[in-house]
Amino acid sequence: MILTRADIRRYAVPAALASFLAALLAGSGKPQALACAAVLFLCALPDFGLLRRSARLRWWTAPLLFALLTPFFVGAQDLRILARPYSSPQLRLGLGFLLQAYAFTVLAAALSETYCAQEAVSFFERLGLRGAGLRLALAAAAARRLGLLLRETWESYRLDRPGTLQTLRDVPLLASALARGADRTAEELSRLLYLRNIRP
Amino acid sequence: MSDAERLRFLVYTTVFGALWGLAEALLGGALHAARFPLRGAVMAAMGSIILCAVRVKLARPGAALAAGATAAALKLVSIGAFKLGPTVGILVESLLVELVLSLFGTSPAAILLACITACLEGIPHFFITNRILYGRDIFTTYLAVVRQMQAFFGLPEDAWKTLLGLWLAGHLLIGACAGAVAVMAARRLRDPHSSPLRGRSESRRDSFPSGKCA
Repeated sequence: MILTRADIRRYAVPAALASFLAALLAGSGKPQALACAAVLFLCALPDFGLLRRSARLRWWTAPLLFALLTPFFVGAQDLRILARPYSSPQLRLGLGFLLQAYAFTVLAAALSETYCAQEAVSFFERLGLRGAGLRLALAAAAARRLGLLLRETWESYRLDRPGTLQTLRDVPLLASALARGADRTAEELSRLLYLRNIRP
Repeated sequence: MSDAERLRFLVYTTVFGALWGLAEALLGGALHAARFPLRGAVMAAMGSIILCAVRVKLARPGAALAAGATAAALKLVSIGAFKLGPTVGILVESLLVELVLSLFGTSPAAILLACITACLEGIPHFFITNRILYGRDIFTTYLAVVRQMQAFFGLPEDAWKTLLGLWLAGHLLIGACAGAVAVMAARRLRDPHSSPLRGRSESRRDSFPSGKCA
């Protein structure tokens, strides 16, 4: 039997999830690092690009700086870097935090790429939630009308309220108007679907 | 529940859930980009207002939870990236609002409590998310860094407790404001002819009981 990339993904992702749960329970140290490495390996098996896509500099700059700079201030300082005392145990700990966070991000991305919305809907319908498909389609259809409602309500609200204080003071009015707008939209859609004999 | 009622329940919870999902995508993105403080609580406040509105409108158990599930589904598919933390947050907030309103009804006090509870969700959420993302030792490191900063700025030993208290108070305040707004929105939904301006001078004229002002 030849396994396709989709098959590998289907087996690898649950195994990676189990490894991540093991890392979560293991705490800091070697078992945690090994479990995280297993997550990364299993996720990279069907799609190596996943590791690259999950390693965007924009996401990781702040955690990386935190991991690299905290040893200057915290932990048993046994090294000197840039003529300042530096803690190698704290650096190891910080890199462990980063590894776990990275493994989680890769796992989450692998999960989202493995299962599509259609599969999720059929899963929920198998569980007995019969309206799941209709709900998703309706949400997508209503989103356009609601987007327009949000924009128009916000623009007319802001028209006579240039100041921040005035804008904040009348927020109850804005919330009421939006609630009424959503209410009207829901009522119209209910009648429309009922007339077209659509039943959940 | 008849077919019509079931359909109405599904459509209302979906539309209100979609409204929350949209607001999350638009305002949430803007607040995140601006690094707005307590943005999680602000988003929870907005969500709790929408959940209370749909629960009051339908007056059926499960309405807030169903709307929250729709918002969470939209959040998952909206941006493309897997937004697990906010999605779980939305589900937990809707569960809390549902629980409070199912236990205490939809009185103004219950709505206020529901909004405060939903906004306070951000506090355990922060600790649980950090525990899952970085592991159990992250809190020891946070505390050590805060202690170093306290020493550097010459602040007292327990300044971090004051900071934690302020953080908690911020969540409480945002929750209370959301509760007040939700009470007004709920009143407006219960009685569509009531004016949201009632209580201000110009709205006194329309407060006659119906049928007597002809």
